[in-house]
Amino acid sequence: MSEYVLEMTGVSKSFPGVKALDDVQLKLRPGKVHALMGENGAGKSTLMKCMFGIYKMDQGQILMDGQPVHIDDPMDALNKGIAMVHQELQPIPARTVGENIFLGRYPMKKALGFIPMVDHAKMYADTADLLKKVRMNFDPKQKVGELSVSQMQSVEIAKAVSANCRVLILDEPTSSLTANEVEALFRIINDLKAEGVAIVYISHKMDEILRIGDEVTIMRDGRYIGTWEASELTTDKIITLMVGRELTNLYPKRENVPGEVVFEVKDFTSINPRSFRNVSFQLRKGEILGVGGLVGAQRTELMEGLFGIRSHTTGQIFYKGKEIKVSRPKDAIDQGIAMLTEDRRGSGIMGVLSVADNISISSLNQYLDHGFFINGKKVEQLVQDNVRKMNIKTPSSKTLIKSLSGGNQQKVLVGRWLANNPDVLILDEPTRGIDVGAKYEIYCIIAELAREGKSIIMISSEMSELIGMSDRIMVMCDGRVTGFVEGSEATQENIMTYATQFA
Amino acid sequence: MEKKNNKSPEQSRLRSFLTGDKLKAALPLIGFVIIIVVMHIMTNGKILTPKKLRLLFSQIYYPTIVATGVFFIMTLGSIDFTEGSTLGVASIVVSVLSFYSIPLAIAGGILTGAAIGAINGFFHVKFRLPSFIVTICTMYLFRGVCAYFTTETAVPASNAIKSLDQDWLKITITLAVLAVAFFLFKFTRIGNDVKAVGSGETAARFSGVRTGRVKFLAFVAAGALTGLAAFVNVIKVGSITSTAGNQLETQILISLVLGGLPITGGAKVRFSNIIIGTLMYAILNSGLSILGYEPQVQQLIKGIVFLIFVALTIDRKALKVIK
Repeated sequence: MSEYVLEMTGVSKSFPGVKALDDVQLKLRPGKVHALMGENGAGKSTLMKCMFGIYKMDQGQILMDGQPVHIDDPMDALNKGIAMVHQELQPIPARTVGENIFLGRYPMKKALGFIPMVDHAKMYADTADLLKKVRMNFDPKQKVGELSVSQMQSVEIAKAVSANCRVLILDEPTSSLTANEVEALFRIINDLKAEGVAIVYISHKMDEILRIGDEVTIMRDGRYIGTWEASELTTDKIITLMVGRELTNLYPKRENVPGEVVFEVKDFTSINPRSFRNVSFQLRKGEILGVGGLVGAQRTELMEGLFGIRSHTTGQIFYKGKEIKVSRPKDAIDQGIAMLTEDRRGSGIMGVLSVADNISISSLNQYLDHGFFINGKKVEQLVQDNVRKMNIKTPSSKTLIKSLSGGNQQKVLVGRWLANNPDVLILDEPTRGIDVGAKYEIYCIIAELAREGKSIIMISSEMSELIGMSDRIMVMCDGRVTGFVEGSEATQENIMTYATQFA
Repeated sequence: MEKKNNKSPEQSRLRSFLTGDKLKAALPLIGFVIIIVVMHIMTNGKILTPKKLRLLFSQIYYPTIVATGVFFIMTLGSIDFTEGSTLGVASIVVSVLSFYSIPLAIAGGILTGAAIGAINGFFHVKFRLPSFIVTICTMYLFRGVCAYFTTETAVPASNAIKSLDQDWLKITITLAVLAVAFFLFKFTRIGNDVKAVGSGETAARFSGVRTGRVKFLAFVAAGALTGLAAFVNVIKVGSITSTAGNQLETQILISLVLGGLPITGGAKVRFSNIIIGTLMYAILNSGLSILGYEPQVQQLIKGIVFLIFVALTIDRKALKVIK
């Protein structure tokens, strides 16, 4: 009998252009909580999706009780006793608790001896038992949509328990829970431990890990760093292990000199109470302001609010000393603000249109003859200027943008915004999904823009990028600004401290 | 072992050709040639006589004008089912006003169409209803309006307007509409904005395109074109019955899809879709009548052709984004 209930060894997984997992291992003991830690993008979720059969591993194997197993899909994983509670819960709000738990595997009975029917009585009786097991006392017939987030999560856990799981994956289970709800969750986890369930606990919250975790595995950049007993670790040690990497020559030398304040935000608050609130900051001419924080810190939402995509209740935006009103992107663009979005495919490129169409869309009024006809020559000139300046690799200006590589698409989008000659550029994860060489080119472009006196706000979830590129870093946590760090003094530790302030 | 992939390489190659972009791009022209050849053979060459061709062309003027408007709506990724009922209501307005003045009749038709388009656009944009839903509702509504005015007797048009039934006039109007639309589509900010919305509404909005206004104006323009088509319709038919424009929306949709326009719309459309499509529909239509099929059988055959074309040309990736 193996001492591990489940072992993953030598796991590798590539996506086009990215090696997401490289020879990773994870070994789970029964009745233990195994914390899995790493920065955003370290490969934690990918590893879990491989275990749960959502992704197929390129290499590596999974052993259960020492025997090799294949997990084809989530149904197969459930049958083998592996259950997962996702970070974003996916219940069916309009159906009852019982129906959600037994979805797809309703207990059946035969009416008149041969007509198959759902056995509702048994389903709700079983649900009541399960809810007792997870220390919840609400009605099995209640609609899931009426429950709180924490109760929904308990339903998901009950569902996992009902599958007699031996391995339970909890992906950031406390990210939307209150302190009391976290305590309730920990009680459930302790009950499950006592029954011998192995629990994988993914979280960024150090205090939780040190409290509930028995073992900790740390990943970085898709690689396995090591596994430690939780008792051997401290918060500082975990952070160093998570982010520790050398920063030499990954970033161009910057020659920008921040000047006077050009852009100021005061007490900016979203209409959504869970989103950004009371945000104030200043941005100077020629400054690169990094924005750091964990996933869910509402950084993108804040920038979308400033750009007129999301609504705000209170707050003022000052641009060059004057207050401006922004209620749609066009208002911001007309003022001289540009925003490169995080989701390049969804809200950046217009895939089936050409490079020329994509690059000219925001500044088209400059290329109109008689205010009406598009002057093809002027647009072509714009394309050629950008192709030369940013080294964009495209067969022609008529090429569909979706056929370019991610890095070249991103350069086209940067060109789109520069055509308007903006003074403030908001860059949301400007190097996401871009290979290393193109990343350096994007950094050079950002550094050059700042040198020319443009003010840059750069959201990044890559610590080293934030530290390597920013004059100053604003850190957010849970919708609030928790601190500013000067670029020269920035370390991964002090950013992480602010980023987990309310965690 | 890869259990699921049990197809032979030949099968998957055939499959990739059948679903590939190359075939989709060539399909309208292939179909165009096939339909002409098949109809030519089946009718023993009767379809290509000058007399039949003249008749054939007389059927395509007003559908081409209407299809041009719908083309813009489908470029947005939206859809419009109100053409038939709009044509009916606008034709009644044109007929009634034709007793006062011909320019007034033309203006009245266009304004009626534009007003109906504005209603569609308003509900689509302001209430964020899918155009599919909005235009099915308004189709029903205006079909009712049309029936209300034509139940007792057909609405007659003046002799003055009927005397305008000459080929040169209808050809001129149709070609003018196509030419203006082509220039708007290809060379102006308006066309560019429409394509931008069709290619990625979020990206277009984030780039500063007033997407709501673009969509609203496209519906107004499409309605106005249908109103103009109503004038062409009235000079041809002379009096309006409750069936005026009946099933025009289906005819336009079939035409555009035959012309190679993906039924999900979007910026992949080509302007030639309008011309090839309406011609193909007209040839199919007159070929089937020359062959002596009953109208019901004609409809059945057209339905089958439509289904096959949609199945072959649909962009499955775009299925979730019909607006």
